[in-house]
Amino acid sequence: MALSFLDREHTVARPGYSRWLIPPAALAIHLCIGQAYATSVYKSALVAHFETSLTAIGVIFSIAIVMLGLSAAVLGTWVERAGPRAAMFASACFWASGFLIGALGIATSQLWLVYLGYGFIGGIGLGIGYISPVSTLIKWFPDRPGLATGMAIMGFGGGALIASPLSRQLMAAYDSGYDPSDPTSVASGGAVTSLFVTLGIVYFLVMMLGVFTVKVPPPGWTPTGFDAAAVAAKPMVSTANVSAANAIKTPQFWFLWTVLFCNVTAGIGILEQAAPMIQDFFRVDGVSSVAPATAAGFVAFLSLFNMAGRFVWSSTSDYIGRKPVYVMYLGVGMILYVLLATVGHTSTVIFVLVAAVILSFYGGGFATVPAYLRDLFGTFQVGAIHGRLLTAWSAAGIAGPLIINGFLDARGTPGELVAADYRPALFTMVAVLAVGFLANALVRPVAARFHERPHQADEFVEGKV
Amino acid sequence: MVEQTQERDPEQPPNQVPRLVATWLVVTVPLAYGLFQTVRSVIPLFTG
Repeated sequence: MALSFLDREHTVARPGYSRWLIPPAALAIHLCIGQAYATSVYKSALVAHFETSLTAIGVIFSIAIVMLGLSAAVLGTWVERAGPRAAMFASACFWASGFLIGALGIATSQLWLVYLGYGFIGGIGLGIGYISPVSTLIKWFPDRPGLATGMAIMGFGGGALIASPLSRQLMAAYDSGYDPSDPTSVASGGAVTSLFVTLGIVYFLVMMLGVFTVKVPPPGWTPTGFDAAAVAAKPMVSTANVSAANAIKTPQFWFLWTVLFCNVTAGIGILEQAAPMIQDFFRVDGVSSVAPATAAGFVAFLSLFNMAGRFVWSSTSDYIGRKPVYVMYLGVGMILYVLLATVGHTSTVIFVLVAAVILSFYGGGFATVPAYLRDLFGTFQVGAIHGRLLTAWSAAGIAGPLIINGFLDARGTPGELVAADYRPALFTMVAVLAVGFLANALVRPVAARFHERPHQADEFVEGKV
Repeated sequence: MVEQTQERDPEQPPNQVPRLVATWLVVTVPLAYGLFQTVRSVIPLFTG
């Protein structure tokens, strides 16, 4: 079989294989699929090319995020069984074909093809790619699972940082009339077509680095000096395994689902309106003291903290524990939201710093959750359980903008408001975080009746169950 | 960097340092480019 190299049995590492090759393999995937958060770069070009509304173009991104959650939830068990190499290869094929079909749609002015390509097919690549390295990283880094998954999921944030400037420069290269430094300049449809083709090819090649580098540890492997008993002795860490099918029957899964949903919903509250928000907070007599370029700088600053929080807080959770770190995300997050609502308008420094820490907690919440799942449900099907949990992200992607836009629309138009107009939305986010805080407080170790019997994991991988 | 508690295979793989360097470079160079470009766009926040 030409593709037999993808099989799990062909990806078992030989003795001596460095585990430090696994994080870059994971990053190769996440840096590519993180492009999904850089779609705003060519939104106006697509609006002009298809002569349609911003909403119709926004649907492309919405379909992709919904497909991310659905495919991660539905295909998670397959990802566990097939192994990381096959999953990464499938992700690369879906993600790259999504771009190529999307390019065909733009070139032929068929918007439905862009929905199908980038949204539907690319979205499946996003879902498989997002969860593909998680289980493998946790198995290679049983001593530092937060660090390992933090590195990978940081890559998802980093992918947008790369794709935004790169896309602008590529569109400028393909369309001499497009000026990336001018916010009013719009690239031609042809330039976006060429951009999609280029990204599809480049991302496929980079993702192949992950495909050919990733390996699973041999059975029984542990890092030198690793003391499994010491790890298991920590509070809220289990050595037992729970299947994905059983995990969703436990209250712990749904508490964590609520925690992730609330943390993401609150973060989106800031992300969704970051640029107009900072201008509105410092508006006096209808004139804002914050220039558009400064507001754009604020958005970039937030994206840096979003990315850094994924690595820093997730790594920190290896030392202070998963439950305490979520107490911080949600508890300190509530205090910060109150500060933002009450004194945020008094100083740009306070406003920027408070918003930045909130966004670092938003990123940290994404990156720490796989390790939290490992602690509660074991390593057996942690990737599949993570996939099911990501439906909370899809739900928050709908709820967060609905809450913030609902409150702001009742007050006027973002970009023409004042700080007081944001208070109802911000206090609602405090309540959302309080719900998450309560859910996290209720998390306890999983009952023994949900645990798998010994060797079940080996039989699952061998296809016996 | 090489962790292993089991006995070494006689056919141990060759020195992995070049592969480690090359693999990490492929991911860190684009990331550094993205970080540099983002930091550049953050500057107006502190100067504007």
